[in-house]
Amino acid sequence: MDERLPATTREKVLAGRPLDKHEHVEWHKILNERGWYTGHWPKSVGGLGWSPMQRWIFENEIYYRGSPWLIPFGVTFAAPIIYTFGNDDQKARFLPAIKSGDAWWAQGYSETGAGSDLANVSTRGVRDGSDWIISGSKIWTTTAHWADMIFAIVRTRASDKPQAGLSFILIDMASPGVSVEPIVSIDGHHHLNQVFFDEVRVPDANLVGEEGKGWGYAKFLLEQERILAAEVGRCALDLDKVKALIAQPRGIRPPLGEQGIWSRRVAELEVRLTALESTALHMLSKEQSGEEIGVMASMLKLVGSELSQEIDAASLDAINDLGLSADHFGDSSAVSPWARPDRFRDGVIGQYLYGRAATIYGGSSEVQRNILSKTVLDR
Amino acid sequence: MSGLDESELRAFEESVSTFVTKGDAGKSSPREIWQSVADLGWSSLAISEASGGLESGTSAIAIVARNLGEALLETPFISTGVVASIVLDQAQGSVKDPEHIAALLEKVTTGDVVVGVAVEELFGDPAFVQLELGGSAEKPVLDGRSAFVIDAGIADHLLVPAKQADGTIAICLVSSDADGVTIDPASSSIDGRDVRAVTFEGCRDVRCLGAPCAAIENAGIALRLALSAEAIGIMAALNKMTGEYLKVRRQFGVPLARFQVLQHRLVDMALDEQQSIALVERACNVVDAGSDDAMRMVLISRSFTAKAVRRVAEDSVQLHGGVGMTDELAIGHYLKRALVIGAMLGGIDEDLRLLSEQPQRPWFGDTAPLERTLVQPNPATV
Repeated sequence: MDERLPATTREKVLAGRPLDKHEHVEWHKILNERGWYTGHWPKSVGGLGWSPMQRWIFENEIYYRGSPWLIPFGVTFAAPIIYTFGNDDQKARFLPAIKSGDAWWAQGYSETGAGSDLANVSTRGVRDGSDWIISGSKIWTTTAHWADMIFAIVRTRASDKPQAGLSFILIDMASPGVSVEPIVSIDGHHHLNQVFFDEVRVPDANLVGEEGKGWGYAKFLLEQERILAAEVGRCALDLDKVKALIAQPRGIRPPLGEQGIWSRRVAELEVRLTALESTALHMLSKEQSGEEIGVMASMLKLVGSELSQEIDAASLDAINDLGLSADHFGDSSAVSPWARPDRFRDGVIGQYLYGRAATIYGGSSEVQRNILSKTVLDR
Repeated sequence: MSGLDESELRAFEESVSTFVTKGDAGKSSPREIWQSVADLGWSSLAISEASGGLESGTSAIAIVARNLGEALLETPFISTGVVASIVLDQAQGSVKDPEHIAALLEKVTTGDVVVGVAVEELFGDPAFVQLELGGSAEKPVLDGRSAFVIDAGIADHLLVPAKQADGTIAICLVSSDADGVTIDPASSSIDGRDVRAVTFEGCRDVRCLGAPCAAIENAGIALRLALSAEAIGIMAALNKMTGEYLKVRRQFGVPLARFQVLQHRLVDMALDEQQSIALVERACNVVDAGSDDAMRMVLISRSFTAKAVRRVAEDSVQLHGGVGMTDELAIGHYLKRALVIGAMLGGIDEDLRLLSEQPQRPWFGDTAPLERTLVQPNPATV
């Protein structure tokens, strides 16, 4: 990390500013020199065969040290479904470019009518000879404007049960009929998009696994990913940022950290982050010894996303002098040697604002509690 | 302040609400909206009758602020219509040329003059004052940078505090186009309000209004109440939008409003709004009655409403889901305004700190029973 993470990239990450596509790909390729970006893939498909515990250690270490977000859409979301349920032709066609970072992927799950109720997707695939004709749209597709490929769950058959009749299809973003509309979010940036499919022709060879079984594949993936959803490493870095913010003098005023209420607030966040980390480690060791961890792992996403919002809120409250305006008395360079003082404030506010999405995406907190309530009530 | 009576307030409320919702205020510039406000006579709510104003009390100020907040309108109400009006009006007694200030106040009343105000330095800790007033009493010179001047970008005059050689603070009035005044080209606020940093370099066109006094305290009270009322307007708008959204947005085959967990969330949001309304109304009454309990009630109002409006805004984003995260929807803009309301004047923590320093007061009656027993010596140790 210290030797190879480009300084400008690290500076941007620590200041909470968004990266461009080139910076993400550059970092992907650096990590790929050691096979680390795909360390959790099985050895049979070119990975290092890391256990979930090894992957947990790797991700937390690098996020804590200022790594950019490891874009999961290709490496972590599409690839496992391709190498677990796809055929040899699909593995050969898609995995090498995912591993090398030469293909950027997007995730086509949510739709305007299918948010929390994801099974309600209405994007349709109609068979036409050896092709599928795809029509409809996907929304909240992060970085779709950079994507070469998108994986989508598409309704290929009418069914009484909404979860049945969905298929997992890989679509080339360059296909005629695909268009991307940007969505500007409340932090003023463009991460999100809506992707439209207007009678897009996709070869049957791009349908992964069995037709009509797409929901099961998507669910398999979510279960694989639950433990990592806690993002303890990123939260730890953000908590250190709060500590740095409250340690610096504000103009001629003493640091906030000297007020009991602030040291207590930070200590409480540290307690809760340690509890979350312990829970994740507990589940990882259970999993490692072959025990079934069950649906309770959903609590990691629920607790982790809510805690990360509270850490972001603490940072925000720590810079609240001058009505949060961009000009300020204090020098924020002490926060981190890489942070640009004038931008750090933007980073804190932007991160707080965009961070509001953490309890909405990937199953909102309300949905997570519904899932958990079934298990808790059955105990 | 004398204040309007109940029926006058009700009529006033109706006309402000009509102005904000029926007019095309949303499409106008801050200055154009302010002109319309002045044409209706509401630019002088905080100016005394003796100076030609309406002297209508904080209840009327709160009504305007709440309606502007609900419609998310940008106009120099809190800078010019609240703070500058009160400070200039009460400064007339302490300056050499009261007729100049009187003429300025008249232009405030007609909407022809907007005054940018350095609110953070004016009402915060004097230690934060960055401007220095040098030269002589006859020929003062202003230098330094003021980081948070509300409405400076559209102002004709600026109201800023400056530190003098002896360490005391002087309130200064400066023409915004005077030599040596540089106003930052862009607003530094995240919520769309016009907030500029202003740099003064050897500026000689300075009118000194004297030291901070009761006028500043009164302006600070009215400003905190205006911010609290703005927060109520924001909560009203958000609760309405969120409630309507949950009734039309369908997932799992039913409107989201059918889910009990979301119903309870909406109830909590409504409770925040209702308690804020009650608190601010009471605080305005206490202030307008001239009670010595005014500051305490004002601090309680701002700290409660600022916290409530942030909670309501965050919940509104959550309940709107993905669309709540978009710049296109107003929800996020209300959230940003809510954040700034809570961060101004040193933030909620500063309100609570000041509150803890307020004199003890019995909840009921003239004395607190517990206090009485506590001050009695313990017979065991006598």
